Amino acid sequence: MIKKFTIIGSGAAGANAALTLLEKGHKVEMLDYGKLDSAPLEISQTFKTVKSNARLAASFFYGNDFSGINGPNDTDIFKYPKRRPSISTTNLYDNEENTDQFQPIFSNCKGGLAVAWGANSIEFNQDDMIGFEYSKQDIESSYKVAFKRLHVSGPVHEDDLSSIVNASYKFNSSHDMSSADNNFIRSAKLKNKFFLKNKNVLVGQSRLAIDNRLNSDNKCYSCGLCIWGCPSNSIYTPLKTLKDCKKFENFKYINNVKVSHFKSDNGAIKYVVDKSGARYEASNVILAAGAINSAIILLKSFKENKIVNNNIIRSVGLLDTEVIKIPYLSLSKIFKKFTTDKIQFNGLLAMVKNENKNFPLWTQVELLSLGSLIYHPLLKKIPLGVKNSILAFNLIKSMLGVATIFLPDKYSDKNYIEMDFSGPRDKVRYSYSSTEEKKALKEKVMKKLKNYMRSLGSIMISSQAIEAKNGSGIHYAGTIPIRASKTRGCVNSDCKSYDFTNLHVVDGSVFPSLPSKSITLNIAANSIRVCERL
Amino acid sequence: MKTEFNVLSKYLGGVECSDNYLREVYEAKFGRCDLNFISSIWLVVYFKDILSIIGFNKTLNVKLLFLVALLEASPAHKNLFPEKQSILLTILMAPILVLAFLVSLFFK
Repeated sequence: MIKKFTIIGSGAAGANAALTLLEKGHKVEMLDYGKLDSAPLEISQTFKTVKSNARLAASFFYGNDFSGINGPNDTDIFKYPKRRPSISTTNLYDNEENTDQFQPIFSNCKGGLAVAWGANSIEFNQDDMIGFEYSKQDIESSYKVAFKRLHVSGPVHEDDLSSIVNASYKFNSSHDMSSADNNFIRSAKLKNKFFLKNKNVLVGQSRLAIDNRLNSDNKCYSCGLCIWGCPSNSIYTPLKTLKDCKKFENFKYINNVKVSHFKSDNGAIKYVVDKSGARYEASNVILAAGAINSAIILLKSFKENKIVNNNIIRSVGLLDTEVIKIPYLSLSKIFKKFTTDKIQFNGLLAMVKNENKNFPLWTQVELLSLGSLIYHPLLKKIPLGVKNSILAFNLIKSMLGVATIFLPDKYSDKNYIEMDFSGPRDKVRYSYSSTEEKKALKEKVMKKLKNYMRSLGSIMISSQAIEAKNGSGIHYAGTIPIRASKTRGCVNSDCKSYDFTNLHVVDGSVFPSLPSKSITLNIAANSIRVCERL
Repeated sequence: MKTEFNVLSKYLGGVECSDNYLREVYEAKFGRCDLNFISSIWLVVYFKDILSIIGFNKTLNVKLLFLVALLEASPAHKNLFPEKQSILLTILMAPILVLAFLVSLFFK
């Protein structure tokens, strides 16, 4: 039977839900508020050629207003310039308060936050899926579809990470690795060969959602411009899936719609209402506006439909990956030639095993060999004056790398989104703090990683660790989580709402715990799983 | 009299940056400023730069870091961060780093 679905949001969850439903023959109407991201440079430009033109480079890397240059108090190494509206600290709902506790990053773009993601694609393992109420086996077939849609590429050879990725998903051939990363992998292999293999830390080449198929028009040409927008369109974004959706006659895309809430009757959603008051008739609704905005829409709907009569309503939870960046020096690279022509992006990945069984099993660590255009924020951290800092930097730059740790998260009743309906204007507040248990986990992960890196001849400089502000992990989840029993503001294992009979939630909101692994692939796979059953 | 942009770019990279666009950007942000002979001496700038460690000359520090960012995203980056390692400096640095590594073995 052909059904009609109304999907809210065009990110990884929404786009993959739409394509899955369309492939099954259903009708899909997508409501979106996405603008287009800035156009990337034309093909043939590389990091090196851009830097050979000062005018182009300055505006491209930093934006015309130079907002991409880190200020004295910035805590990140990279800063997205304003030329990319896909990344913004301003939500389209623009009525937030208390953002000093939790400063989320939003995307007001078609394709959502995944338009500017890092492309890392490692699936959740069973031991990562704490509280998911469905097993890895239940989602295997959906991962296969997601791997195909995202064109995940990875090494054809075996490495440490092979033990936690499913080879049957069929990776495309791997991307190029820098000589520095090759050396690192070689050191890890030598260590594994002659010493006892460390099963607590796995290191390997990143599995990335980069189109590396030989005959593809979008094949990656290793330009090194990934974080500023891929010129060859090789990195997967949901816009590709959206393009596939538009090939179906049953697909209707309505843009410039800021969804506010649902209007229901007898527990079933009748209309989706936008900020201007316009109503869209709905028989089956798929909520995929991102973990934060989906929660805001649901809480507002509770108020509008008098499901909850309080003026202050909270989401069940709020999860995010805490991010820590730690510089390290690899002694093996001391005499190696260094090039400033490229910035190495997501070349290597490490997974550190957590001992605390309450948290998802693996902690993801991205190992980045420094290339160029990221020196100046680090120079500020060397207390020698700028000239001396540059000299010191030139001595160690070929050895320098940065390990970025993404900590997993689990439910805490202190972390939530709160909506206040008492005033003339609805307000959104975030409550988020790190628990003692999480702090202990962080210490243990850092210690394990430090010991492992030392065994490969790399010194981690923990004293120079940069801890990002709460909310900058960008992997938001857990606001409308899966629960086994009926709970207000939650969904069941099929991601069906307990509050509205014809509502499914398919974005990161539904994850009851947050594994550390990059979230886009896993959101896409779960969205496909849910929609395959509808 | 030399402009501040010329003096500081030479101080950082060893050669004056001749790119007019970068000069315009720098002067749009900090204003055009001509330095007298004394203020443009390398050692004087160096001394002021060093003093930023103890909180003096914060403006100079901000200007230098902004200029590093600008030069880094331009062909002039090779003056600031040359690809070729100085062999002498590497040889001098190697024992310190090896020592640091050995010391790190005794710390958790």
